[in-house]
Amino acid sequence: MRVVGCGIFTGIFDSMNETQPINEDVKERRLERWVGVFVLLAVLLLLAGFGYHLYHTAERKGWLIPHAPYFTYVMTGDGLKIGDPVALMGFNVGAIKGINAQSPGGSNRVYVAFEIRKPYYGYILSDSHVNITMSGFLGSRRLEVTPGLTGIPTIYETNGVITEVLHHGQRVPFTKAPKGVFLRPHEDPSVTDRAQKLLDQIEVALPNILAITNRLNNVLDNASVLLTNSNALVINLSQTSAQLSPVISNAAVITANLRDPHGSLGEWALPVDLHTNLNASLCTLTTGLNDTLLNLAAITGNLNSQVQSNDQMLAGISKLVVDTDNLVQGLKKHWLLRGVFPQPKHGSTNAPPKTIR
Amino acid sequence: MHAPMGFWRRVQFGRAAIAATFRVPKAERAAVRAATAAQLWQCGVRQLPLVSFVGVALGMLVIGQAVSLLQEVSAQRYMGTIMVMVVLRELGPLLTAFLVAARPGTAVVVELGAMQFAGKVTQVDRLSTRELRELVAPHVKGLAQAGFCLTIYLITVALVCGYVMTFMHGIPLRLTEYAGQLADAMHWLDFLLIALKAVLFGVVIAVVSCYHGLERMMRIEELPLATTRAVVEGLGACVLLDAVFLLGYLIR
Repeated sequence: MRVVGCGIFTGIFDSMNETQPINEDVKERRLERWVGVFVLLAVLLLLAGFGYHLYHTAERKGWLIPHAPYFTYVMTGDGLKIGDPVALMGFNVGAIKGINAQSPGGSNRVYVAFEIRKPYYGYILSDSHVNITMSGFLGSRRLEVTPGLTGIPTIYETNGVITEVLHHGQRVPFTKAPKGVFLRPHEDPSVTDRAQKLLDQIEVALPNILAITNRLNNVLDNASVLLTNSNALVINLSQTSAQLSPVISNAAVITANLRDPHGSLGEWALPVDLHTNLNASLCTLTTGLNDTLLNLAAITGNLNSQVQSNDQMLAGISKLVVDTDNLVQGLKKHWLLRGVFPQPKHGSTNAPPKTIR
Repeated sequence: MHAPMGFWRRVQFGRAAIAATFRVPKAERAAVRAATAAQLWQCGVRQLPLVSFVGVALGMLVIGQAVSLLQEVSAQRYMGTIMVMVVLRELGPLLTAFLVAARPGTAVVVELGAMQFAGKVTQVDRLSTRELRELVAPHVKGLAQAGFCLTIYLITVALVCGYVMTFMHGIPLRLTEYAGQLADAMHWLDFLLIALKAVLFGVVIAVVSCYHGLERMMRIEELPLATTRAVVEGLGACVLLDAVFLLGYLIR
């Protein structure tokens, strides 16, 4: 018996063995081949997934890319943890590799080591610095490196391998500065510090807030009284408006009557033929006025002629007076009548006396 | 006192079955391999359409539900993470175990129960090592491998269909980004745990099914009851095992 076990299959296989040994063998091999493919494909799928995961992780974490070590000192390690990404120009370009508290007494409290992968460490010059900024709402912080502008490079490569680093402003072999390159920190206060500051401000502001609250309470009390009064007023207004309702209705009726020209008050105030009568009167008045103006023009013309005639008459009178004067003077000089006209005294004139006695 | 005794009987049977599975004499290896291949054909290859269908449904359902939720908070980029959390780590292996227990598992119970009924095998207490190798080892090996392979296929189909569903929803997520999200959300331990979980689910279902098929001489009417008990116990054991793996995830 070539196949043992597995119940029904054993029986089937046994019977096939006895009758058709060659076919059985072929079927068995074919079956094993398909089953082998089935298992192999599954294993390959799993391995492919694992391989892609490794490749992607390596690419993400930069396992296959050279890294340059950097370090800085911060006041507190709060919100930082190993493995956190390091940002440069908005990209995750490395990770924190170590966080250690320094020995007491020193000015540097917490040592933070981190790595920047190629080619991003090319942006980091001697005037670069590390911002330790807030990240998220849960008090975490992150390192953010600013690219340099005018400094000198911090990492030097030979054939793609880091050989020298900048240490205290000088190029030294990488092996002599295993910690890497120091970058100046710009550290924001931690969440606890900020929270403490906020609490202090709240404590200072609290008495004023309480005073405001008390005043607000009084205002609210007054508002309550005011509301009560307003309520009563509204009730009174409601009653008044109810009483005014018939008046308003009557006023509406009157207004409607006034709006109608044939209404009682309308016809009473303004007769229907008022316009016709007024028009006729105005026509008559205009005609009369016209005649009067014509008469006035004639009178003016007559007056003008009269005035001109008066001028001629005055000229005649004036001539008459002159002639009369000449006549009188002639008479004065006539011998017959010379005595009638007495001679005026020497020096006397017809002028009035200067003084009155 | 019946339950603890039954439990220890199952443990002893399982230990013996696994030992017999791994300690096969050289002379019998070819025969066991052939029987295992036949078992794998029945329990694995022939279950592929059903598993693929469930994978398609799983991928589309999970993504379909997740899309409507994630779009509200503009977090479509977590689609890959959700697929890993839901399908890859939990639902994939567990659903495959359900399918294996429901179809090949019940077939094993019926097969061994029928042999018991025909008097071809002895009861579970009196099984010799040779009988264990002939009757139980191919089932254990076959279901373990089938569980592993079907889990991988189901997860693969679900992930692919998840992406298709994402594409159909018009979410601007490229295939490389989706694959990247999946890779980011996974841990290397996930691959090991998925494989281990799938194999152990298959082993547990095989042992429980074989136990109930060989438990005692039964009448033909008792066979459905034994099948039901095997499915329920097998699934219960798988869920318990899954809880143990969950602890492993939490500890990690």
